Amino acid sequence: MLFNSYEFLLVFLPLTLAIYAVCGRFLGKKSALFSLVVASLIFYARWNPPYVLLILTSIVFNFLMGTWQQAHIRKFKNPSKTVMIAGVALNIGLLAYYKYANFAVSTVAGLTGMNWTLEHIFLPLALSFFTFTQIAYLVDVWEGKIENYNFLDYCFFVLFFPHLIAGPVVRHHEILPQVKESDGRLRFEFLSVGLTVLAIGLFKKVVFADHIAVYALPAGEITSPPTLVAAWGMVLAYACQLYFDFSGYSDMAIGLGFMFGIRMPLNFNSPYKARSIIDFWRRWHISLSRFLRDYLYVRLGGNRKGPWRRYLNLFITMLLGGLWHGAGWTFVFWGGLHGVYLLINHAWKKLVKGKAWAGSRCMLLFYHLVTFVAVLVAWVFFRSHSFENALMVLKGMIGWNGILLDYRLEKWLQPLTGFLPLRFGVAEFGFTGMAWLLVLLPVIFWMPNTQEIMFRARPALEQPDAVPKFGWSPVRSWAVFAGLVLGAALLLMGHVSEFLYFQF
Amino acid sequence: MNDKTPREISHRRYLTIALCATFLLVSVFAFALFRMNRQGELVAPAFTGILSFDEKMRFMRNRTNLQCDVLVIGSSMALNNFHSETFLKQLPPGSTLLNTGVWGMKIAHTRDFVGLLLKLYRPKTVIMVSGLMDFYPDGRKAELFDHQEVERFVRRGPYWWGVATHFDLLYYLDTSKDIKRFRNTRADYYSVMFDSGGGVPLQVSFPNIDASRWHEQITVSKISEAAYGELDKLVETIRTAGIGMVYVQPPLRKTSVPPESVPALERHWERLNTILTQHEAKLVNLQKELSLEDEFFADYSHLNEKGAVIFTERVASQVLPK
Repeated sequence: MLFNSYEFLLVFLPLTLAIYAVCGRFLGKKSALFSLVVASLIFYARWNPPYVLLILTSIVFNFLMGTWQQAHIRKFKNPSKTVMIAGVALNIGLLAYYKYANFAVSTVAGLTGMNWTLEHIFLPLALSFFTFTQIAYLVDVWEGKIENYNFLDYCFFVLFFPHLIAGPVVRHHEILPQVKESDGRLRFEFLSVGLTVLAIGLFKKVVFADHIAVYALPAGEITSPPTLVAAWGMVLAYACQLYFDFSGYSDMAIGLGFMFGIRMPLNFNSPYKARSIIDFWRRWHISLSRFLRDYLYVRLGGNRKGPWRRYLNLFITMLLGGLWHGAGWTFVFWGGLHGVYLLINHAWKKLVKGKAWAGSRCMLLFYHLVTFVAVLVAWVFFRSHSFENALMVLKGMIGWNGILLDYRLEKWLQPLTGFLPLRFGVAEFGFTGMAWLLVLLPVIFWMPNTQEIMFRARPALEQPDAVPKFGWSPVRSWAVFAGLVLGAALLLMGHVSEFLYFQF
Repeated sequence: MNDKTPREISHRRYLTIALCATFLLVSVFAFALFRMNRQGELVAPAFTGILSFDEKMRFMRNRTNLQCDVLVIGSSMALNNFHSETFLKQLPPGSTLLNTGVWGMKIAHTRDFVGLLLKLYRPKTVIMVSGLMDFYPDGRKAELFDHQEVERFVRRGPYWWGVATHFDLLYYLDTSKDIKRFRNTRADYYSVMFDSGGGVPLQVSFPNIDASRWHEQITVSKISEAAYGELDKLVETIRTAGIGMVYVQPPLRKTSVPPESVPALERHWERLNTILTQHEAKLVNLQKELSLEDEFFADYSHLNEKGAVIFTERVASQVLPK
């Protein structure tokens, strides 16, 4: 079941809210929590019922490992590394089997020339997310950061449907204390704020992401080399699609969580406004970046073992981050490319430290532009299913394949053909695609994001940096706006399309 | 959130206003769709998003009885080339005919569709009118629609349920501009102005024909091997149900078959004949047996109404007992 489906919005969500409200009011907090755990399991089962067993086994196993570790700490006054390693290894093993076995076998077969094949292994929904959530839990228990939680609380922490299928990767200290403090009652305040955030997120996904997707760089093979305008158009359209898809999903997760009185961690914070790649990774998929930093980069030694080791750790972290996004070499390359970007960024920072010109407005604008272009180039590899395809698009972006413009522009631009390799014909990237970009790019660069708009209600755990002039408040105009945005999204939700971070 | 300004309202009220606004907006569009439907401007529920298929389901739903003696299946070859009235004249009085031809149907799609059709209509004879182009692969999966859902619709389940479960506002609004015309003219290739049996004899004649359509040629190399397998399954399904079956290959414009393709075309027909004979079905090859001049064509492969009459008379003479 997807958030952007009628089944979810018109049946599942109202029913879950109603049952939660009744349980919370008449049966108490525990039953309200239990109703959410059951609802989350139904939500998960709607995708593929047999896999409910897998997620339940994973939850029981990790809870038992955590409990065992806590018992060990109580008994021997120190944690057991063996218990922690066994738990983490089994989680990684599960992930490796479902997500990377096919990739590993095909890579080895390709390298050795052996005829190895493996039957296609179907990736269980949300496997990466619930595995990462639980790895973090096991490590935190080992470090003695976790108090005793009961099984119901733990199930809720892992299964709560707003974050289950595509993140954020939640941490126990973000969710479980809220569960403890919650009285299990539904409040109009939660509903009105949650609904507004949900409506904005749904609109971003259904109207912006799904409509620009038509013009975006295709995932499959590109048959003819794109010319300059088409290559840039398709890559920009894909960047917009990713942005609004992920931003929309993150808003919806936050809105849904808040409806039940739970604040979700911020996962997306206007990443294209970043002025450096370091800044970009503090804004894009924040919870994943944080997970990789705390449980991979820091464990590899972080910056404690000298600058070169630090850069190596950073690069390895980004490579694995790329691999997390997809079992394919183009994803690994994408991660590696971002690793290189980060190294350059750190080196540059060191170089210009203390220099006044480095902070001038002009330079800030330049940083912004360079960062955005670097991200776009990396997206080409992220999207392409082969390096040949990616290079074909990149060549198009530097004008290698010439410039093809719409034939209607010929009468005005004909004089330029003497200086530029211009051709006129049926443009590969038409006026409608351009019009969408002209609407969406200003929204991305100049509009405040949902969390900034909603700063007064603070629906997410973290507060945004900037506060806009037209912030949300519970007034009539905002109510009408939220209602109309929700209505428009519902009306335009014709084709149910998956989120790009779905099934990671 | 507690520092309330004078303009602020309670959250309960906020929620009520927001939900009312949503309801109002949705209602406005729902009303517009109802109005469009009354004026014949609302396309049939988008079970597949293929106008011809969805409109054909609407036609089947509006048909008075769920029974037919002769069922015609296939792509636009069946839809446009088979003239219902001409064939009905040759049948005993009271006989019924249903032409379920839909443009763009490949052999795999027809194979999938036929399962539902046999269940719905239990015909005595099935005539499949299909061309070489229906054997080209097109990348779509064989199952274009949900059988249960379409069956419920054809059996006169709630009409608006179909619209609601396949709700795509932009598609409904977009097609509204053309659907009224398509339902009222046969002078357009996209016409869905069905005759009494469900066919659309095109009223398009030379020279008022798009040049690219007129000069198109068949490409025998495009034929997909998998399509033969699908045809085999299709014929088997029909014959296992104890229903007689005839496969008809309609004529093409003379210039649409490049001379170098003739041997491959012969091999194609041999393959068809082998499959059909295996299941005791019959092949009627009117590409070989019926030579029509350009005046009978609407493009390189589709006949116009005049051509469809001649073609159907010929089919009847070969299919029906003398």
